[in-house]
Amino acid sequence: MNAETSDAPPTSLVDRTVVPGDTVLDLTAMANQTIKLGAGLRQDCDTISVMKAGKLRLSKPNKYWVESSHKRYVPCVQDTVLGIVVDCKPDNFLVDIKAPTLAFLPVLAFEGGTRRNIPKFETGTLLYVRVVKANNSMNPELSCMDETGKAAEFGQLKDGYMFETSTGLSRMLLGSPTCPVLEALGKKLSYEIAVGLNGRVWVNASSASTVILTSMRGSLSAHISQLRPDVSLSAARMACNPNKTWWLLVMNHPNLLLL
Amino acid sequence: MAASSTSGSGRDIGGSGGGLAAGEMEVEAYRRLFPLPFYERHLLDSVRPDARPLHRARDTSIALGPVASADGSALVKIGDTTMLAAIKLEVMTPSADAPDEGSLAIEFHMPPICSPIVRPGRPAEVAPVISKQLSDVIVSSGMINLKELSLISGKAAWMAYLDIYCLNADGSLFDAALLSAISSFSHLQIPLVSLSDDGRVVAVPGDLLEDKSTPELVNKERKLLLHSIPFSLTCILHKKYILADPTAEEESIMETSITVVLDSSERLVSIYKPGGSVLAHTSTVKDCIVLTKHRMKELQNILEDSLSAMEVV
Amino acid sequence: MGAMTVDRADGRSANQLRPLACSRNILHRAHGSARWSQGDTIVLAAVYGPKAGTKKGENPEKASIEVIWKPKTGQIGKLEKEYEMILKRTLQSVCLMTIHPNTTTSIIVQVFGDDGALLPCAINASCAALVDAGIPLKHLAVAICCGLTEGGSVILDPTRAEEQKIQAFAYLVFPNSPLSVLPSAPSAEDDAPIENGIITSVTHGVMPVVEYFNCLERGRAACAKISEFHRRSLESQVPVVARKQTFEVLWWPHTLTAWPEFHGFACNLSEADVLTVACCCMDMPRT
Repeated sequence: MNAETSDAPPTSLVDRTVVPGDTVLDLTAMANQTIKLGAGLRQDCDTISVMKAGKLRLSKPNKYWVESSHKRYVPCVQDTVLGIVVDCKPDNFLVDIKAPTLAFLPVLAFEGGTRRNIPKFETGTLLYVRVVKANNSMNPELSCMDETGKAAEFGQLKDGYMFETSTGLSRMLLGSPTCPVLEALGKKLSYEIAVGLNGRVWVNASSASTVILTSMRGSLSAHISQLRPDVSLSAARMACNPNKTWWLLVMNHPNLLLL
Repeated sequence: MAASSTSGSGRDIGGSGGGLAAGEMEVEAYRRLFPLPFYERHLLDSVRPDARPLHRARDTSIALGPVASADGSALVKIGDTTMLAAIKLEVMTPSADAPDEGSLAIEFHMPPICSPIVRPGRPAEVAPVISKQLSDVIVSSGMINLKELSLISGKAAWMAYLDIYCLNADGSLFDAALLSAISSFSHLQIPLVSLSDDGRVVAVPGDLLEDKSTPELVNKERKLLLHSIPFSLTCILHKKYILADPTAEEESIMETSITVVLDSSERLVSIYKPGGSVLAHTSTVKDCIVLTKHRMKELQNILEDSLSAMEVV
Repeated sequence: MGAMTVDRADGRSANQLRPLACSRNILHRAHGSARWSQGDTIVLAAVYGPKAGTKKGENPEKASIEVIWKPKTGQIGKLEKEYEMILKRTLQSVCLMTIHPNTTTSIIVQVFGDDGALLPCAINASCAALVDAGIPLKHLAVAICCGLTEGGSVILDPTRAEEQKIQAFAYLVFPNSPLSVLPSAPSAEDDAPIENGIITSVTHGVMPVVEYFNCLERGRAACAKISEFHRRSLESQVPVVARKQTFEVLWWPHTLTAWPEFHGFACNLSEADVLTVACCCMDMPRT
């Protein structure tokens, strides 16, 4: 479908592909209305314009955002992410969450955390954490507790296998209803999965991880028609590791994606 | 006193404090803390902090022949921006594909003394870009007929090394560099040469010229004929304002600049606008071209004056 | 202007562009990448970032942009330095620099083929790569090369052979033509719509002033087409709901051994794509 650039302006761009520079909302026409802006949108005087390419989405009544998929992550409060500890400071752990800057995880941000029971994390430890502070002039801040101060599954992820995907894919894996891949896998075998909104996914099961990966790949090919292209990609990436790295590069070519 | 602009970056604090009344703060502090609102207030009254109207260029002077050892040289000042250009001629063997043409090598230097932004040991980023722009403009304008630099077809020709040193970088570097380049070319005195017995081209010292025993001269013309001389004007575009001939301070605060180069027959040699905000509408470009035409007349007069002053001396 | 038709070696009309192609997300490690081709001029751009910190001398209150130009062969010279500078300034003007302050975004431009209009092609490629990386942008930058022939007519997107013959040419960059829900009549205070402005203009050679404005007009019209192409290529590549489709293997890496379950891959690889793959294997810098 060709975008109309004719004289008549489109009444709504919701669910259409938008590119940076497009104007999606006219605020003068919607006075006294509160709207909430999500990723990829910005206010420019009396208009809302797009700054990232993707699909414009509207969650009734008033939340707008641009849905897109990237390899980097922009921190947002309340997101759950997978981070890797890169350094330990007396007050903070420095954690890489694929954001522009490293995130701080205060050593006391654990359930019942006091000066006495500071956890010891080596560099490279994988953590499942929540973003509690995010603004563009400071490093983001993380926490291993939910709002009520409970540990609630947050914390270190031991063993298992972590792979990197795009933010779009992890959002899809987390979406409701449950992603068909995960569901189908769950019917056949038991496994643990942690999906970070920053495009990192961790899988673990009792048997050797290669088994999981192979079976995951198998069920993926069965469900392929319902999947988005990058899903099969990541499966392939999992299956191929570690020795056929160059093949992965080939897989990343967009022409190779399944439609 | 000239407004010394201490640094080109790190000063853009933004307009957040623009609402603050200027009277409550010392003017100099206001200028440093909120450079953009400071400028915008001036622009509202169509004047710039250095008391110039928006469209006026700074005072310009050309001194010809400051470097005695060079074959042609010029010292150009546009406001505080100072450029020293010198040409050195050397005899070379012309290349096979253009046997009857000499050649030009233009180099623009920004030594650390010219600006606090340039640090010793690290060459300025803009220097090679301005070099490239200068040679593009000078070559494509056809100002110099390279055939005039030929001595003996296929055997010998002049290689002109033009070096431009920026002594003080206070904005509009390209304009000053181009003006110094064309001034030094109009000052250029080509040395007289003759063929020695073993077939080499040698310079004839000035005192031998009257001598009867002088060998036959290879070249007679001592001046280079400049055909259509290019002149340029850089303008800053900010909102609806056009500021001609910006200083370094203005360049660092308002980022969109456009450089127009016209030759003496008013043809367009270059319109150079690298990035910046999307302000250059067709009408703005037309305004800039008109400003450049005015500036060209000014510069032509200044150049003629300094040339005639030199002849009198 | 008087000449109605111009003879071009490849049979194009004066206003006709070479075939455009754009593929995004082709490099595994880069945060965003794009390969843009206009005929045989092919440029691959990779974006890394935003990475923490800015270089010394840059304003830490804003994001900074770094451009690295890799020529097809040889060292970089003055021309490449100039390209780097123009590309950097152009991209700076389309990026929203205040969203990620104190970060650096690197754009690496690798030239694969130069058959004229190299800089516009590189600008288009870099812009596509920035979109792919999700760098916040005010709008897209769309670039075109307009040539002025000896006969005084304007040709668009010249090849290298044409570039060498023509009297003058202009590289022009415009903003993309945006979709808007606003009423089509632009607001009174600003009588010129944004896409009429020029982001970047670089000219070579002498031309009469009127011809420059002629170039502007033609270039602007061509850029509207290119920005339409940009949009369409984004529409087709932003993953949407999957469609059911049969697929077959058209190309298979012969070194790859058994892979029985995955016979369902559609692989449309041309020779140029194999080249792209080869370049993926080249070591690109990592954050």
